[in-house]
Amino acid sequence: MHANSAHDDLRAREFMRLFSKHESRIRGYILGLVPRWPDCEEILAETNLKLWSRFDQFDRSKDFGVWARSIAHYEVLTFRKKQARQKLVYDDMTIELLADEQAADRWDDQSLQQALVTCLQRLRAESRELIRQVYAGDEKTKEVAERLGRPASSVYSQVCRIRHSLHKCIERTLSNEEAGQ
Amino acid sequence: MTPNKNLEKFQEFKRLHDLIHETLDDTISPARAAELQALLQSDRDARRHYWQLIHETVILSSWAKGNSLASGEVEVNIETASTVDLAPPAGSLGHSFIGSAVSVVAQAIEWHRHPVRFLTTIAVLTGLFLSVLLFWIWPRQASNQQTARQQATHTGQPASVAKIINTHQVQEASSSTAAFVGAHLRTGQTLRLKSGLVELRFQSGARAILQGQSTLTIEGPNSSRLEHGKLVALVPPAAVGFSVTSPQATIIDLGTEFGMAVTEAAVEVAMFAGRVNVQVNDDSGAVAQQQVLRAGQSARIARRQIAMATLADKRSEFVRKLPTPLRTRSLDLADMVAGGDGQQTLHRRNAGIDLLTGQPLYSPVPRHFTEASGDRGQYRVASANRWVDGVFLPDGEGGRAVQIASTGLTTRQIPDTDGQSYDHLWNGLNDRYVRTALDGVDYASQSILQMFANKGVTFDLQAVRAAHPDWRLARFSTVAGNCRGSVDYLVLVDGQIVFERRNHQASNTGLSMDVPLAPDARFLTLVVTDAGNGSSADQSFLGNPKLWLTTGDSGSVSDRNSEDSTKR
Repeated sequence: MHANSAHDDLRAREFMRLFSKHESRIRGYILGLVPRWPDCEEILAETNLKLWSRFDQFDRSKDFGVWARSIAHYEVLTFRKKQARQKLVYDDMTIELLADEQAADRWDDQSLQQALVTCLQRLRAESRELIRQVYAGDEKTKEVAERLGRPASSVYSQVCRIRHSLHKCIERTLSNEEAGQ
Repeated sequence: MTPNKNLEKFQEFKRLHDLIHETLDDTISPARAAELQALLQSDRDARRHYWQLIHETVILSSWAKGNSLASGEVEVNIETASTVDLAPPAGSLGHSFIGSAVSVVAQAIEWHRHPVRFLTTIAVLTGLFLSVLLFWIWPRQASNQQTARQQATHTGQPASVAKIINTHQVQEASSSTAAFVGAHLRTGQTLRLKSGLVELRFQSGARAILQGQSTLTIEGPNSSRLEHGKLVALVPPAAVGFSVTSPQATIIDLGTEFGMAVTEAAVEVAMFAGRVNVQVNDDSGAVAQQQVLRAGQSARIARRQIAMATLADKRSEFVRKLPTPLRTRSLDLADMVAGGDGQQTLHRRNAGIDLLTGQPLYSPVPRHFTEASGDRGQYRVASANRWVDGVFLPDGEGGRAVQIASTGLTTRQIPDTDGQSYDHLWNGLNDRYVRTALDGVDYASQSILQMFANKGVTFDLQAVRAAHPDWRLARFSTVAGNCRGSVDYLVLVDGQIVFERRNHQASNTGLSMDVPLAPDARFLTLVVTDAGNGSSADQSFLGNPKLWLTTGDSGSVSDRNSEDSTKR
């Protein structure tokens, strides 16, 4: 193996490791500021490319997630500038407030994912399936309701109740872990 | 917690959850969107809660889509996890997610197992990295394609898996797909280019530049088929495994940039960076021969044989970057005077700057005459405004030096005035009797910077450049008008007059100004004076006062082809 390509491999592998570790947190950060899935995915793709092209500039002693979020933030602002004003969900002040709050994040992604796994498997099968259908992103909740032959309001309410119990379960699981550490 | 408290908590949760859900569902009404925004602005707890719900949503969504929730450094014992008795009762998942009878637990284990296996393997078998990588790619690629197929079955039509992000002088042949920027491409769609260039971005993050004359079919979120023609692919690590098939060979990317040219006789591959695996299939579709190409190498595949060559011969045949299109956008100076960002995102109408203090003013404010006597004509730094350096009441009596910037910059070219000014520097009109239509365009519905004589304002162009580092500040333009009396208009850049119109009489005709700005210009100063006849009736305004930013080489306003061009 050539020295250069070995270096490239290592670099790519390191990037993949870091990116995959932080991907859902970066996606969440973007989605929180630009709460539309297609826009979020577009910004994430741009962010991914920027991160890779600037990976040499990343200080390895620093937190990749923080660095990635700063680049994602810039991409969010760039995206917002291109959008017509009426298409933006949040104004500048809300974006700033949300971005500030995000810095004080309590739990990391791994913990959240593991807690979610634990909590999902405690749900009843029908509830789990409904959540899957609603969050798969192929249909709006109203369309899911139509397909299931149920009133949309009833599906909305049920999803909200399931999310609430999931949310409480996640909080409980993470707090227990925190207390046990 | 008491039942009441529980109910309260649930109601708080429900309110925020419903608002977020409707937003992500894209079904939220403007009133509900305003409610969400007001809640987020006013309540820190709501913002914290919001982030947690968003992150949970992302993870739920990833799970629901059947994606691997990659986690590079999960510290769990996979074998132990797989034996934990968490499996739900048989059949409890109904028609199950991911299109098969996979349990939640199996899914959870898969989230963790895959990257750990991958990382462990490469740690042990560094020397065999390539083969491991290839081994890893296939399931991932298959998974991507499976995801696309699943999306297709849900919605009844194939989901969008790629998007056109750039074009250059495109001429299409008969096509199932219009090649315009923003067009979404679904699996199975074919692009037929007669000439020109199209840049695509696949869902995986891979990019491809297709050169006419070419025919390309989208095969999935990370794969395509090049029937004939040329493309260059740029594949970031997250999209490793991107593949391009052709009648004779399949190219599987290993994180790289490569060019590929397909003719009836042969397939040529040129490696600019990284590596690809070139596979030649036999008639049955099985891999008959394969070869890894590295940066600097190229290969020609003809009659099912791979022949190596050097890249030097091929480099010039491929377009690796689309010519930068001229893009232009504008910043609204009236909005900036009011404390906005120039893009009217803050809706800062009816606000301005006090000529006597340089401080912001908000409606309603009393209209009055301001006198320049004593020190009142001095330059006032607009310390609270990011873009406005300062304001002044211009009076160049006796050819005296008038300060026009916070750096102490002065000019002796300001006309002699009566030393008074009526009303304020204002975004919009603070006087409803002013006629706002010029040349048949009513600027009241667009943008107006009210500048009744006598007023001067200096913008800090350096601050504008700093806020828009990817853009070049090219020009200033506006259409000036006054409905009564007569005024002088002066535009100065760094103290030098670049536009001047003396004694402009009131009329329905606007006075167009279009001033180029040098790359190092620091201050733009706009001055309206009373043309020597007193300021009391000189109701002047600037319609659509704009700074133009461009990414291209030409800064001419007449060349603009931007999103802003339709708003003029």
